[in-house]
Amino acid sequence: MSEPTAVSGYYRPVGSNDWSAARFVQHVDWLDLTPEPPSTAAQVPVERIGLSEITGVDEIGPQGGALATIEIRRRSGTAFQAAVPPTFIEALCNGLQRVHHAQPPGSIVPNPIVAPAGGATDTTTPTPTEPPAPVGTSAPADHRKRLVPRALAVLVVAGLLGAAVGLFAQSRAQRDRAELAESELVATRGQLDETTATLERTRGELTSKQTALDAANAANGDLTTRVSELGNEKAQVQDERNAAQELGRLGADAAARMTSCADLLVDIIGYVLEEFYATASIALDTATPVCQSASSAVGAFQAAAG
Amino acid sequence: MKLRPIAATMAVLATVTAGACSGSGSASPTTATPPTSTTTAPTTTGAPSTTDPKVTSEDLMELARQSVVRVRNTGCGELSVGSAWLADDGRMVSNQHVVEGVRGLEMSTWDGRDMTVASIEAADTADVSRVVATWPPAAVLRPMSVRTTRVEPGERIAILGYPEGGELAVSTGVSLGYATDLDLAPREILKLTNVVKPGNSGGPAVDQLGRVVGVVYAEEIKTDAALVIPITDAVGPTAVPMQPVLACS
Repeated sequence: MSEPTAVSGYYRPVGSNDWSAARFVQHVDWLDLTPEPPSTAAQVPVERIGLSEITGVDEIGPQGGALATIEIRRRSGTAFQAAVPPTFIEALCNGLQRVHHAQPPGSIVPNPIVAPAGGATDTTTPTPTEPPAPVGTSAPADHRKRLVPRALAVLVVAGLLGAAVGLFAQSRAQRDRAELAESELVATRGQLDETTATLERTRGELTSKQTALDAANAANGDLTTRVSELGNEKAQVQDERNAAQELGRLGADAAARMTSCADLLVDIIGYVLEEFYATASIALDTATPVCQSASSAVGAFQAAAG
Repeated sequence: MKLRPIAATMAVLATVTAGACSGSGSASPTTATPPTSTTTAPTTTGAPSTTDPKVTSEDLMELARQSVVRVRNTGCGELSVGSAWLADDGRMVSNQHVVEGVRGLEMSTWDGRDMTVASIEAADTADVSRVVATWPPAAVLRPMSVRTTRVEPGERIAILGYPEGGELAVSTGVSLGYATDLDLAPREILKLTNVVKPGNSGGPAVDQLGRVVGVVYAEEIKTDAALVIPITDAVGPTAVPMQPVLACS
């Protein structure tokens, strides 16, 4: 057990450009960081940082002067930079090696300078370290306690790997399905294009056939009208034919009656020439209605003939 | 009621000897009313369906082509024309005055196909006649459906026939309601606003569904109203009795 090492220096959070004066006191297992107040009367809180909380120390500034700049990373993920004497850095590294005795010596030593000269930017990569074992425990217990997190880590990693493999397989299957669906989509799109083209052709044919149908209907209407006209003309001709036939029948009837009348009149004239007056008178009585009928028939025929 | 029979008589034979035909002369020729008309020209459409709510004039024309025929009555010294239609009992229905005084009765379809008349019968108590006829297969005739319910005043009615012995035509009008014709023994008849001409006699009057409601037989001289014999007098169980028509000599 050594005495605490106390030095004065400066510190600033990573990302800040302003340095603040502070006092650094390194104990066996922790480091006290005491910012210097603006006045001596003011009380400022002391920030105690366990060495086991420190996961890395990087030297980022030159060591040519009285102070060297280091960056101290903490397990919580935060970090701050300190400008302290090199001797303090060496003591800090020794303390860290002692605390992290399971780590190979030098793993907590300052890393090579990675930042540009005079820069204070955070360009380093935190170095993962195993959590330190609590101070004051026995070696087998420490070993078991170290094994448990490792086993858990292995299990977590294995689980993660399994999940990753499962996800990969699932992703592969999904990709295969996507490719299949894409190919089906392409085929369906092709069929759709073909069907659309067929539909367009059919629509065009339908339009042309509709046009032809309209024309045929118009022609059919014209033909129907013409058939009706012809049917009517035929009926009119038949009417005239029947009228003419009836007229002929009337004429023939009148002629026959006139012939009968004439025959009777010839007979009467003969009787008169031979002075058979009584016979002539009887014959005249017979001929009178016949000749009257013949006269009526002739009159009717003449009237019907116009 | 002064009536004007509307069977068209050919002028060339109008004044033949009075005694040449026994029983003729009731269908004397008169001056026809000038056409004012709702008469439509033939057009081409499909056959009307009785299930249609209302048939169009084109449907009526198609119905007329399928069921209404032209009648030519060559009598003894007279030639007259009228109309007839095919009833669902297979007989042609027309007027008594269309077939009376017949020596030769001829029927033909709208497209000039001739039919063969087998027998004629007519009623004494109403101006109705029925003719049994046959027709060639090419002349497709369809029996008309009838409506026995009464026609309401204002109802649209169409008359199908061959006015003036010309082409088949449809005349539309509305019902004026029923009246009594004292010349018909007395008998109830239907009056219409339709324009009718000689030659429409015997044609069917149809409602908006194409159903026959009566047989056209005359025109009222005073009002020019078309007069129609109710269908129940012409066909069906309440039809007036009819006797065979004797030919003139």
